Amino acid sequence: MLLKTLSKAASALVFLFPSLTAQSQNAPIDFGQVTRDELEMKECVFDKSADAVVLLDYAVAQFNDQYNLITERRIRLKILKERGIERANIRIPYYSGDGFEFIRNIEGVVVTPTGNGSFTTTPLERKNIFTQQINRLYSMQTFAMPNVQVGSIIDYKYQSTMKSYGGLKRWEFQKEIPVITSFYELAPIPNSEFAYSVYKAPTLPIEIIPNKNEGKVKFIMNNVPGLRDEVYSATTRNFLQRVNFQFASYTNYMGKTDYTNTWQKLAIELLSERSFGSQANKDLSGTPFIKGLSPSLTAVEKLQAVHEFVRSNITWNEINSKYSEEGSKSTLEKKKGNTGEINLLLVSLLKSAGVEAYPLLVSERDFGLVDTAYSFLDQFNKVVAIAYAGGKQYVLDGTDKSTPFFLVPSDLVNTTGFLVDKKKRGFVYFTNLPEKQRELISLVGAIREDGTMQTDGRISLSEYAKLGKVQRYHSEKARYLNAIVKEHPNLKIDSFAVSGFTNDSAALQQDLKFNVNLKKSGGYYLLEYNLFTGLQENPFITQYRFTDIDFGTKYSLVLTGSFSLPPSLAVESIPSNKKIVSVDRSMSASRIMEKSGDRIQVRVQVEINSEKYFADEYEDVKGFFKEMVDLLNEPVLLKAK
Amino acid sequence: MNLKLVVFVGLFLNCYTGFSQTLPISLTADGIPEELKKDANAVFRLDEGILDIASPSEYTLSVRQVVTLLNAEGAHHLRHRIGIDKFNKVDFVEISVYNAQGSLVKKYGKKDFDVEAAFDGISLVNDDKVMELYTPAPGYPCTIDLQYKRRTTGYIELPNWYTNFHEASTEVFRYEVKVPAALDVRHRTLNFSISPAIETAGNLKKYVWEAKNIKARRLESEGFEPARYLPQVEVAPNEFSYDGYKGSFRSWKDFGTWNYALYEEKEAFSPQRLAEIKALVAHTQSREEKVRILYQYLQKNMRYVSIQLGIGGFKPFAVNFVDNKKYGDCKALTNYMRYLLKAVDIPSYPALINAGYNKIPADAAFPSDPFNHVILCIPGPKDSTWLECTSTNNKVGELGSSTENKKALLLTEAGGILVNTPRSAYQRNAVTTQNTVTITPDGNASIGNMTRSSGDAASFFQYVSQLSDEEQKEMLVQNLLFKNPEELTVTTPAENDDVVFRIHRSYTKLFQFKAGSKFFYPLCVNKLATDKVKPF
Repeated sequence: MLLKTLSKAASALVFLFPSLTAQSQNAPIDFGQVTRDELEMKECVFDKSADAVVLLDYAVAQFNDQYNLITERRIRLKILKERGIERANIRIPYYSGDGFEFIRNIEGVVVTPTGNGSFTTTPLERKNIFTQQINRLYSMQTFAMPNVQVGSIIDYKYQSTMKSYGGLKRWEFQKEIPVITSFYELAPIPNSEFAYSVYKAPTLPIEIIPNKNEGKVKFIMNNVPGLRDEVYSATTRNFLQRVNFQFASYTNYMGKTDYTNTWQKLAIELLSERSFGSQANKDLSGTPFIKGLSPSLTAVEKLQAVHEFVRSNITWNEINSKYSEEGSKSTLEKKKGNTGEINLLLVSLLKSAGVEAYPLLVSERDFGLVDTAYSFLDQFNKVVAIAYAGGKQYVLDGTDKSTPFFLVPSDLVNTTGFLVDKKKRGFVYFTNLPEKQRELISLVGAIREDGTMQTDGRISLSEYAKLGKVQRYHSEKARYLNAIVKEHPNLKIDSFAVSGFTNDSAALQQDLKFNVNLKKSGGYYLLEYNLFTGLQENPFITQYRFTDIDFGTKYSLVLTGSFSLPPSLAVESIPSNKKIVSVDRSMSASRIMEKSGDRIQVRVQVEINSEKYFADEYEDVKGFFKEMVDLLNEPVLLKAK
Repeated sequence: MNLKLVVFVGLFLNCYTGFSQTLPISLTADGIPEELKKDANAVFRLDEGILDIASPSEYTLSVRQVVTLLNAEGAHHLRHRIGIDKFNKVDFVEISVYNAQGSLVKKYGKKDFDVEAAFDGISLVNDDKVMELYTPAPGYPCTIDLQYKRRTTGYIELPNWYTNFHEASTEVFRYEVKVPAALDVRHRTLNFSISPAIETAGNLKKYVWEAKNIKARRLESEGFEPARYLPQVEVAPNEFSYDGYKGSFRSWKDFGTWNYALYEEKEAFSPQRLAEIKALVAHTQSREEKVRILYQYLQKNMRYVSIQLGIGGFKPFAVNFVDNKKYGDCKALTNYMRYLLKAVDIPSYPALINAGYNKIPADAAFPSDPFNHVILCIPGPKDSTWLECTSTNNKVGELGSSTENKKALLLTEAGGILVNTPRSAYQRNAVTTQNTVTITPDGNASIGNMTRSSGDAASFFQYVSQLSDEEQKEMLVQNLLFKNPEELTVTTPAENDDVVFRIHRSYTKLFQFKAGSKFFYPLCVNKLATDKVKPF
């Protein structure tokens, strides 16, 4: 029950705390030592099926005389099940690009019980620690802890040195496995203030201990259950118990400079930055591409042309960023860049073409929700372009090859963006979008005397339903067919055609002819029409839900069927016309069915008119899906005359 | 599990490419014969490799691949991946992109590539890297001209040259191998009937294989890996040197000799440890029992961790390291087990194998190194006993689908011997389930289920038994295709040989629908699988 209430609205607090000087503090238990209770522990009492438990996640962050951010980190965990043993393989990724971060002084020790309260202690040897470069930005320290068995307690620590407090990250109290004690202490650099906001469940207490004399603050949470991935969740990151930090003010002989950024100040600052505003506002009207644009184009046509030019000519290096280090001009020449470089170039090209456009800070779905109450820039992971033309708003991402210009990219649906402009600044909410995941399925079947059915099927996908498929299968015909066949292995496919990739506004159309043997039961044939909907089973299986249900977009399905009977078969019973509606009326499913002559006609419609449901609405959503699946699976009963 | 993933990732998509000096190559789709367009999304105008072998440890591979993409379904040819590591460096790479008219649109060089660690998904640590670049198409059709030179300073194998006929055709296929005559190479072709033109000039020998107009085909799923079916030229060395370890490779015996030396240790255990190991089996005279006890000792105490660096991809960690740290990769755990057995006077041999149910078996007629894994073979008076030393739950003699019924190279004092691994008895790879359905008059139902699995089929249930309650529920409902129950509980009574699950499900409505007074229940409450049967 503790877990269930966890999902209820979490509270957030923001505080400011001033700095003084800092001194380090010792961890509660000496390194490599264990208590009898820890040795004898067989399960985590508040998360009984966990395969391992973090006994202590401990960090003290402070500065040195160069104002580097130095974090002493220590993690102790206990292995509870065989599957948990792989958690003894430790990977510590860090930002090594430009020498920004170093990991030093790694030490580790494993205490393994040998029965009767005795144990062995095995240290990690330096020569078994490896440094690997992952790419030009990140590296990783890797090691396998020695002599680990079910019951072992692993204790390891290291020091991270970052060039500056710019690397300060949020502290997460929660992990995939349960955490008994999570402790974080931060000392801000002298003459500065940091703001922090805590996101946590009301049921889980937090201790926040500011130390005014030392200018530090401690955050402690105990007994935090693990949080695992769930179906239809944008990201578990949104739900982790955590504290965020932001640099707030700095005082020197000139007086106090306040960075407690209101959103307004944030916008103004960004606009004056060389790597942001200057690039978005770069005049590129002299470039051949802009010069080549026909002046007779409408604003929407120009917008479309610029978007197409950028996404087909500039290659994304798969790095997300809010900034353009390279500069828009150089990005245009090099034809390659990160998200910041490409999208600030996109903004500048749009403006140069005479289209109203602005940079828009966004947080992709899996990066986490933006809390508009706190002007923390690190809530965003990249920048895109927002433009206005022909009385409509467009969100354009030049790194996204498949999303048509008139759709909000699927990474951004159900998120919040911040439009950066002196006058027009403000939040843009990508919720309640008119475009849905639209599916139109039509089946025309002729049933033969032997109980087989020859069927012509057409699956038309538009808006987000099309986008999802195109992004996944990249126009590869075989993969579209495979996806269909996988769901329905009993169909014998005679022909398959797919069209509509190249035309952005056309539906993705999949036409198939197939044969199917009607199921037989007790001398009856069952005519089932729930084909290609992906709704054969209720996807919600677990009893409880911890994260919100996030479908991303609204959903609309219309399935029509027309089936002819051979003279030898008659309808024994036909499912009734029926409509079910969810408690909050946002979801509905209906079925209309009739028989005329030798023909059975069916029309099924499913509408989900909300993109998101809170975790405490889980019972209702699960219940609706169960009824809906039953409704879709109810067949027509046929009998030999 | 992996011996050493010598992954040159682009093997099938990009192959190694070279520089053609002579041929005029068309850069437009015009003039491609119709027969080459049939079933093809891409046409290799030229697919050329030039292998220049300097010594048993050094060669240069020059690659040139000019490919015309006919449509967007060939777009995977726009992703370029070249594997590199400590011994394989790319000095030069250039990609030119041409539009439908054959005009140059863009040129890319080495600096445009990103270099990333090539994680194999298994290893904790390895030193493989991959150079990656995506070159967008200017529209279709378009032509990509890829050229690069890879310099190798340590090898065991030589590159083979494949045709990429899966939905792609090839106008000109060419592989040229230059080698000091004293060194020479072994070679053959597969799925291909071409013979090389051979020239000897001074002390240099040159082979050229060439083929024209190879039609596109489609590779079905569920077969062996593609390399089994692609027309290809295979080349293998007679002598090699990798990371300072020299070897001969004229026969399986040779290659076994080289590997055997890497597994040998003079004093693996201290006298004290030897005594402790002997004590573990002191109570029994049965050889079988001794093997079982020591195998369980390995399974209980050691864990699998893959670390592959340089020769470490072939030479196991010291036995003493595994003994102290209690972890190792397949080589280390296998060799550890071998020395445990040796301590009680039971001889055994490491056996190299290419694990994976659809991997091509090693070929007795053409010694090469297709291996990615090691297992242990204990020769017996009648039959050998095989041990999978990376498994924590296999029984003695149980191999599993990735290693059974394959060719393995035994590493013995007398060199390598290619042998067959046993097939499992299919009767043992079984899941049996028994369901008792209790239905109430209003259609409620509860289903008591007992699922008993053994052999290969037990591995899924072994895995599920480790999960948390809610994860277990999800896995069972999704994988055993249960109708989503209101409640599901699992108990796993311990049994000796089989994995047993008792699963209790309850439903408020188990019937599919009701017609008049008739309830229609699903014909099957426990569909075990809908997967297609994999061909052998």
